[in-house]
Amino acid sequence: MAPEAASTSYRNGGAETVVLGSGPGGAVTACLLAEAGRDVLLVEEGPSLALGDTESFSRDEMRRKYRNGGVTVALGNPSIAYAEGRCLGGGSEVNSGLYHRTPPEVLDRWQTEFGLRDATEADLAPHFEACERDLNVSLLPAEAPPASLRLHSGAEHLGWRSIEVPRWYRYDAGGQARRQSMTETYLPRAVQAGCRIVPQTRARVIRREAGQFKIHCSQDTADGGQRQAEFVAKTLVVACGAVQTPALLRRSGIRDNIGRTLHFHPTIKVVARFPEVVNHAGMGVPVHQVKEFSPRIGLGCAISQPPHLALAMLDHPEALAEVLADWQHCAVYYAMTLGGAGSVTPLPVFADPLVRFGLSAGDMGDLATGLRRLCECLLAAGADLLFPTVRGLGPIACEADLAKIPPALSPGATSLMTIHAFSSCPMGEDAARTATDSFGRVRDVPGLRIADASILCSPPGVNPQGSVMAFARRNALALLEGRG
Amino acid sequence: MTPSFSAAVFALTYSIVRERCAGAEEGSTRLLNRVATYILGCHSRLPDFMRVPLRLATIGLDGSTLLTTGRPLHLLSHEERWRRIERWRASRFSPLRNVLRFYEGLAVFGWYGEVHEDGA
Amino acid sequence: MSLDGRSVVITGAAGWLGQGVLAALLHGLPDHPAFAQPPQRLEIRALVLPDQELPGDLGAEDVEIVRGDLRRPADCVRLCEGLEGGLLIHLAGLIHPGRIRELYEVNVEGARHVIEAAASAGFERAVVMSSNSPVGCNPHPDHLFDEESPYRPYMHYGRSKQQLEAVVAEVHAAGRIETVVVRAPWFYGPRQPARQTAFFTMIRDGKAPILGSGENRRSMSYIDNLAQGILLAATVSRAAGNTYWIADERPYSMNEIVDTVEHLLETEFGRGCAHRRLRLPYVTGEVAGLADWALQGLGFYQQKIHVLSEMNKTIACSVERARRELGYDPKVALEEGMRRSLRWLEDHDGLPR
Repeated sequence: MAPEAASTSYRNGGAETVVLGSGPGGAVTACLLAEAGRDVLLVEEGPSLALGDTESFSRDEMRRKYRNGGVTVALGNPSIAYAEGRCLGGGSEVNSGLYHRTPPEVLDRWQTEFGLRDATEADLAPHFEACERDLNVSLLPAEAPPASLRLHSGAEHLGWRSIEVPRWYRYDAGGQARRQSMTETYLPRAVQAGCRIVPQTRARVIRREAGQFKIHCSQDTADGGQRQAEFVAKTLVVACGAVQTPALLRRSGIRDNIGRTLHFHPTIKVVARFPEVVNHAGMGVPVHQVKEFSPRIGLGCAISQPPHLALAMLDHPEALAEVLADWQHCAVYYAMTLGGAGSVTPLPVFADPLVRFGLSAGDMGDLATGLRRLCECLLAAGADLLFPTVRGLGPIACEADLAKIPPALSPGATSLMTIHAFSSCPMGEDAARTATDSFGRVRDVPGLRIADASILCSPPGVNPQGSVMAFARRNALALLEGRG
Repeated sequence: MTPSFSAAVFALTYSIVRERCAGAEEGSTRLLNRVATYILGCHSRLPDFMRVPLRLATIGLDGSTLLTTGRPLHLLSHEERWRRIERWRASRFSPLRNVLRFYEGLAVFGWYGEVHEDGA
Repeated sequence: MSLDGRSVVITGAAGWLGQGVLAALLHGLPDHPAFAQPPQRLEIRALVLPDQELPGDLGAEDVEIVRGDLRRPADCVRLCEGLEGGLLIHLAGLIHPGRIRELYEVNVEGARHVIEAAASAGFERAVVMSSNSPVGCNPHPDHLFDEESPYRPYMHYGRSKQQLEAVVAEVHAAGRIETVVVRAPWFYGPRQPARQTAFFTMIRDGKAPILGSGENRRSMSYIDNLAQGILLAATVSRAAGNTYWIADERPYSMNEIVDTVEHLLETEFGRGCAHRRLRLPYVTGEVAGLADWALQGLGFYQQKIHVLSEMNKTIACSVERARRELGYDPKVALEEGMRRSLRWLEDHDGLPR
């Protein structure tokens, strides 16, 4: 069918290709397809807001751009607080903009364990390069924030490998930084190429009838109500994120290897106090990460504004006021691990899916190791007091105190969080353990594809958005070429 | 006299912020009220299957003092409320601890957000 | 902004609060430096109901009296005409009505008439008296209302005042006149009406009702503190369009209020007291509240039941915003305020032996 004919026939009720979700996976897919002349409709559950409409990491941003206002939890022992973007541009609008390629050893493992083909480092290199150009992935032109440099100096002191992670930022001649995101890059390009965007529209269920997909949606109305909407598509690309994609597919009766292998980067935090000033109002995103123990354990510095410091001090309430009075001397650091596995289950009656996550004793051991490494690094960086997010543990003030950290953290006392979710619909040729083929095509449902973090086979050990975009680009081009 | 969800949230917020955070003693009514309103807003945005149980649990906590004191938690003095909050936080029953943690986390996050945004 | 040379129109001038504000304008407010001396060349016009009189000390020759009723738009036009650039201080309101609909006729429609008349006459600003009732009762005993607290009107009176505030906001938004809303809780002080005297008598006779523990708190506003707040609302530029709570520095518990009056009666006014309270279970307030609600639903109003229903409630507000933005500084607190009230009563033979 010629694109023009397609757009006339689908105009209001759908498109030749409908993409659900406008995060990095959906935005890249919609953009490339539209630029290739395809008729594309992009449906986004969240509101259409510009990058600058909310202040980064503020409560206002959480309210308007995060799913459930940023308060979502994977139930388990311990439960894990997680957060997802829910707005035009998805997670790219609310994150730190730190960028990583998929580590080569991870790609190797995906090949051997999941039968993922045509996805070697060399296969993906052109896709990484293209995305890096489009988003202007670059190093800081000026000095990194002090809290970030502290972590780096601690690692150097110990002889550990630590790097500055590049970010998707543009800098003008004066060094003024402008963060990049989907609404700054791929989405305007998609619109330019004729893609139509329908925000505030949530896909409830999809049905396949007579070679087409019918997508039943509920749409927010201007008066705060809801109305039903239905779109029709020949090709349907689902890119709703690692939690919502499996929830939608399972609600729609598509279940094989879907939603049973959710993975996170379970993360534990530490508030560190230094004798000198390391923090200031509006301190930018920390950029250093310790890679010595990658991919199993990654160390880094988190957003450390007073409210975030307060939240990280929840397990040490007696010291909260004291730390906050001295907040310019304090920052939040994290140790990120790979362990555990979870599931996404749609519930009858309710709109939000149940997310569960389990960690083994070994996973709790990894977290303990990560915590110990992080504390070592921060002490080496000159911190004089450390508060881990573990009830009853700490404060840690010297090397000897590290012995207080048990070989495995107690599930009942440990507070974990994550902002990375993936692997709920893994890709590869091993049909027994994957939901899609190596190019995101859902098994046994012709025309249905997944293009988000769900298809990453296992935790990449780094921020997954670089991987999501590279695979989205690779798979979109394969679709256009009639391969994959 | 009857247990109330929003009154309980206000009462919990006032008590937690007073005990935990600096600067909540004087001249901070507007900020305290904003924090409580913020927590009510967060509750209303929670995943739907958590919203109702948390609401019921909160009303349950509010009503749990009726038998012993004749009054719901929100009508007790701050000192009496705080004694109970401390006990619930240290409970061996983890769902109870989680309810308190939900309010405590949002109260301190909200409070320092207000103070910081106000000061910025 | 100074009051010197201004034209001021006061509604409800013959009422308790009206007299307090008139006294402040004519004689000054000794407790606040900005108003210690009365303003110069002030032109005052007062709306007084046909059957009301101003007391002699509020100088009939200094005040132009307009007789009329807020419910009649023509009276309001007559009240405001010819005073371009004037200041309206709208204090008239009905608290204890005969029938419920009168609350709306006076508090909402009457207010609309007079504010519209002031706007049409080219007045600069209107200060409008509201109440604690639009926001209801505090959710817990140590809670304080601020100006952002949501509306949860208490009964019909609260609803009428909420509608009044909506009228004010609407007129301000239209840009026709600057408005300031002043919300005051229970006030007290000299020139009080008989119902306040009855309260003192109950305390003396040991019949002051205490519901439950009596630790519930009430914000109160000493009449001169309130007059200070109203004059500040009238004169501070940045107040335009805003709402302010005006009350004493802090709320008092019911026990503190009763104990203070009892102590003063005995030690300074030589009135022996029974040293008892009419202790009623907390639930009495709830029962009275239900009865009040049922009666009001039928269009009736019973003052004693209404007042009883509020006796176990905490109704307390914060004056932080008025302090911060208006420079409000309430100098008189409960003991001194009650002392002045009792002295005024004694001087006017109103304090029962």
